[in-house]
Amino acid sequence: MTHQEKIDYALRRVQKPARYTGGELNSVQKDRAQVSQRIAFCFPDLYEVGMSHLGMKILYSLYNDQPDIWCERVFMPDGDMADQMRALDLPLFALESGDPIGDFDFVAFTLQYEMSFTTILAMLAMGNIPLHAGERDERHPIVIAGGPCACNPEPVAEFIDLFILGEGEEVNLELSGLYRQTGRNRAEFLRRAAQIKGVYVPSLYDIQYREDGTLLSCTAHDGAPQKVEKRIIQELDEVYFPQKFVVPFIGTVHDRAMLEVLRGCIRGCRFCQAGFIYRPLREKHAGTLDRDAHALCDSTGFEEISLTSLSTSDLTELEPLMDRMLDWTEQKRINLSLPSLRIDNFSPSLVEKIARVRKSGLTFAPEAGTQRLRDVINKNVTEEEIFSSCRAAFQGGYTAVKLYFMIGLPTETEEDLRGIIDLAQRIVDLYYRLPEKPKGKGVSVTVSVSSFVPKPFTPFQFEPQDTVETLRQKQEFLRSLIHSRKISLKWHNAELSHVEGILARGDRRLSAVIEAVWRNGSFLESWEERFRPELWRDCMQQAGLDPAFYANRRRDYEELLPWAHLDYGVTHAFLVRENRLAHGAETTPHCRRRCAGCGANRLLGRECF
Amino acid sequence: MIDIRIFYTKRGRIRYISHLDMNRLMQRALSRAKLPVWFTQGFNPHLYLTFPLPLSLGFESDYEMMDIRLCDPLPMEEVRDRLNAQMPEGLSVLEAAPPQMKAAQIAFCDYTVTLRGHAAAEWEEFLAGPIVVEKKTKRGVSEMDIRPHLTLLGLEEREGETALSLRCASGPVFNLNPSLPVEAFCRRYGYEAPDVSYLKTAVRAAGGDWFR
Repeated sequence: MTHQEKIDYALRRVQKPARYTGGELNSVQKDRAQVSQRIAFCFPDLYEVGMSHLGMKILYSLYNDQPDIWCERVFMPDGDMADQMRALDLPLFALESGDPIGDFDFVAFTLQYEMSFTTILAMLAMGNIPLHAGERDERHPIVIAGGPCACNPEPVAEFIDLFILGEGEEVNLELSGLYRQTGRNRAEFLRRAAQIKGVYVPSLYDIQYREDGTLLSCTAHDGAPQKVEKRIIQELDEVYFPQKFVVPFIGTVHDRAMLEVLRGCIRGCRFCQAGFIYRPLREKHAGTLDRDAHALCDSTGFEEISLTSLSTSDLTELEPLMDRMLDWTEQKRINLSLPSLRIDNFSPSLVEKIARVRKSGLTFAPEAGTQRLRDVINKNVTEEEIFSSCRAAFQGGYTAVKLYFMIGLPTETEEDLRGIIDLAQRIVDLYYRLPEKPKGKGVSVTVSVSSFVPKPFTPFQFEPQDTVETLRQKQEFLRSLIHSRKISLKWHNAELSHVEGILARGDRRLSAVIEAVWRNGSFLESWEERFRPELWRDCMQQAGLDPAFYANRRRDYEELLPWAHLDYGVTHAFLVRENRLAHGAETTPHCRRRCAGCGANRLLGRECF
Repeated sequence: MIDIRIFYTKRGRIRYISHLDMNRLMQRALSRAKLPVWFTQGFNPHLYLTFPLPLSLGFESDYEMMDIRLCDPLPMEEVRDRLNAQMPEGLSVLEAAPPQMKAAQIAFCDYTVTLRGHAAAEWEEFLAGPIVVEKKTKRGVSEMDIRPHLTLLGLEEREGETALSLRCASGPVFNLNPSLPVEAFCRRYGYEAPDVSYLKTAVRAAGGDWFR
């Protein structure tokens, strides 16, 4: 069978074959002979997940706007397709050309969550690319990676030739420019790439460990910088934004147009990695966003467009933007959706505009059950705000509320856990006390509880994570507190959070564990049915590593952390200061109210506001 | 309101997308084409779009149809061209025309079925007798002979493959998917059912006229 016949043979035998066909509207076809650089942009998860990701859409269009570059999409095949491909000896191929990814110049991964690490190995292996960076030579693609997990890439540093830290719109093109000069001369390319701001070449850094397992030193060589600073876009309003999205044939998780309205976050919730690593805050103007929204809707025909960011209600020009957009989206019957709204900064006129577009459920994220613990984590949402929003919603006919909480937060006590169910119960009570509640309908309050995972570059990077056993006890305790059938409790798999906790703050020694887990057949582990906790336990043990060392240990402020040679703007001193404030349950006001001195404005070279 | 029937073909790798996905694809294509399409008037208005006869996943077709409604009149050629300009690879709009028949008048579909290997003799033997298949009903599984609902229009061996022309009963009363007899054939004679290719070539009314 030819390569194409093998693909066809496999497609006839798998579920959802349209995941693997390509050919969607706005996907880019180029002539192989007319391009000099080919990039396989890999999302280490299923098509439906990867096609929902805005960053991939931006870089896909950005690359393909370069006449000499062809960027294609690659997703992890599901188990049935992976089995077919193995049986047929069919290497992992890119969707646009169907060509094996091993033939490309660059294979680029986006690191969105820790549980995708084994999938990266699965994709490299399916592409017949040597797993270890040190085993690759001029015949192989350069393997690059970026995205939020690149802020501590050490657990996968063995497998990746270079990481891009921070925002990719400029630095990706600079790397392509360098490649035009060096070609496949791998050593020269990597050595010179390390001189580009925002590029981290892990093989140019030597790590020494102490006897207790902590880091002794991290030393750069071959001229690589001792500290690698992340890249940001200075003028967000002028940054490249695609005018077209690929329109998927099959339903995806977020099957709609997306506009990124701002980057960074002013809030400073102490558990939230995104809130720190994307600093400083930069915004787009209403006119720019409205123009891009028009272009996207015209080129895709999507029936929904969402305004995305970490906190869309913090956009200065949100009201003028909604005024402009509602004019035409209502007429064209396009839904305007606003995820990530905060309830504490609504003006009455904004409430009225949001009421015109919001038809879905009502979701709040108090994150913690008592005001004390919300102060610890700096989540400045008060109960009055939650109750007044719920009251208005119930009066408007809503009968379902979803509440997001975390357990295992630093300083958490039994009282904080009781506070979670207590808050839910009082929302139920509020509903039944309201004279104008919807007639003949009951209320439903869903309490969704995730387990706190300490992350690098947050004030909680020093904190121990609760053990699996403690998390399970807390989950059971919460369940025992519920006495109303109107409240339903959902929680996350504690063992998954535990492995996430190991990887999030891990070092290079974990690469042996990740490889062993993959060799034992695991991938796509963010899909819970594919996650095997006992395998992680065994592989940690075989590598002589203690899970508790990574997940459940408090770090001194002085400890050399595995990501200390990476600079995301926020300073160590700031994180220590915030950690101390947290332990005193003292809040830090948001950036617009008062600068907290996090250090990220250094990347801008000016004051943020 | 103006009712319009769109005739199109579906060829190549786009055969792997399902009927549900086609529905969404066409909605978005109509939106991009900026045609003055009619929206339903209910609580949740949506673009009016129906398919007289859905196509199975994996099938190609030279005779597909969908029905839309426009609020304002437009020349049929313009509707065709504007929509055709919005089709992804593999879909081509051939014609836009006022519907002449109702979906309930569909009686037959013609298919070209291609399978690997030279199987003409086996097919002749297979079609000489009854074809009993299991049919799932509300009351459990029953057996039925589908041979009366099937006509062989042509049988030809080409290079390494066999092509059949089959006419299957179709429509709202009884709809025979050609994969039913073909899979029964494959089971009996040891062929790989997933390797069979299906192409719908015609949709016909009772008496054999093209469904328009």
